[in-house]
Amino acid sequence: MQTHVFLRIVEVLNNHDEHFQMRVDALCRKDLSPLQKCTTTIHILAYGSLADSVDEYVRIGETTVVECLERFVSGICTIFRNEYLRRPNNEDTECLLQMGAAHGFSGMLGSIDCMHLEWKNCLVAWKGQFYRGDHCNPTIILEAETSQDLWI
Amino acid sequence: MHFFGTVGSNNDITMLNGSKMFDEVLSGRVPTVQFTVNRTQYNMGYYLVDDIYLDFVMFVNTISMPQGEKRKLFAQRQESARKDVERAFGVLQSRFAIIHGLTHFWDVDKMKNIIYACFILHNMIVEHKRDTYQNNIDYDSVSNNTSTFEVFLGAHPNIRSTYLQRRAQLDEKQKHYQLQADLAEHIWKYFRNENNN
Repeated sequence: MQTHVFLRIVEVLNNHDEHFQMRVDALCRKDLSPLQKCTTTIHILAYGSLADSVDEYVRIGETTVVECLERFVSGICTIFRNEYLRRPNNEDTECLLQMGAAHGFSGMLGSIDCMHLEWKNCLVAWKGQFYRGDHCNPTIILEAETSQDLWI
Repeated sequence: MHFFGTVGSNNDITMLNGSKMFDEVLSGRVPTVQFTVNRTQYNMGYYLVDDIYLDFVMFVNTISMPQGEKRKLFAQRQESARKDVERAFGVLQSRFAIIHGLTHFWDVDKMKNIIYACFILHNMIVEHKRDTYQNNIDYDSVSNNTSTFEVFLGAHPNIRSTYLQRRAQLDEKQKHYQLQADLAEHIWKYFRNENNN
């Protein structure tokens, strides 16, 4: 992810959710900066690391990280969902059709597939629901439609 | 379009029935794509899928065990075009390791948010990188090559038809196979020589 994309996300979240703003407590001590919170969150998303693995580096506590992650993802979903997970509009459709035509499939809008995600902490009561023979753990299915430039 | 689902005994088909993909088609609000392949006119765009999906008009799947050069070429090109979606999942998982391995969260809604957030971040990155490689596709030469089709967007001609009629239209198996055959002809016509080279 490029720096300006990251900084844009930080700025938007900062305006959206006061949890990300740098606040001052009763003793006039400064809270963590939005950059610290977003850096740890992106670190967890991108490396799948544990919540307390970056506390030395960013100087942030484990519970704070978990809270940041939750607020980060829900914030991202509410703010950017309409823009980045939209259904293709007319311009997009035209672009998709051109890409399809380049492959020789005129009129093609994209491809569809499902992906399985294994869920370790699935509740025992739900295991039957989420289980499928070809995976040893319960799984969750994602279905997505993508275009040639990997836009989902 | 995307769907995140969790109900039991799911496979790709039941997922599809539960997903919101057909809602707009069935409610007649989808922008129409009109195109002509091999002198037959179609007015609905389609998606490339693999074998497990049903024979809907909106889907084009590959021919398993293709017989004859024409079908072989079609299968080859369909599979090479469809690998985009596999690549997308690969890129997504390598970009966000949190959805690569085992998921450790307890709550479905939380995981849902995380995965949607990953999709959104992924699309943001794609959008910013798109400018660097979009010029590589030369649309001019493409449109010269395959000048038989024309695509334009407009209101759906069947907008007045009822839900059930639209549903029935989706299921027409004959149209599905006709589209597949027409595409095979089309590809054979324009890409046969390319393959020989």
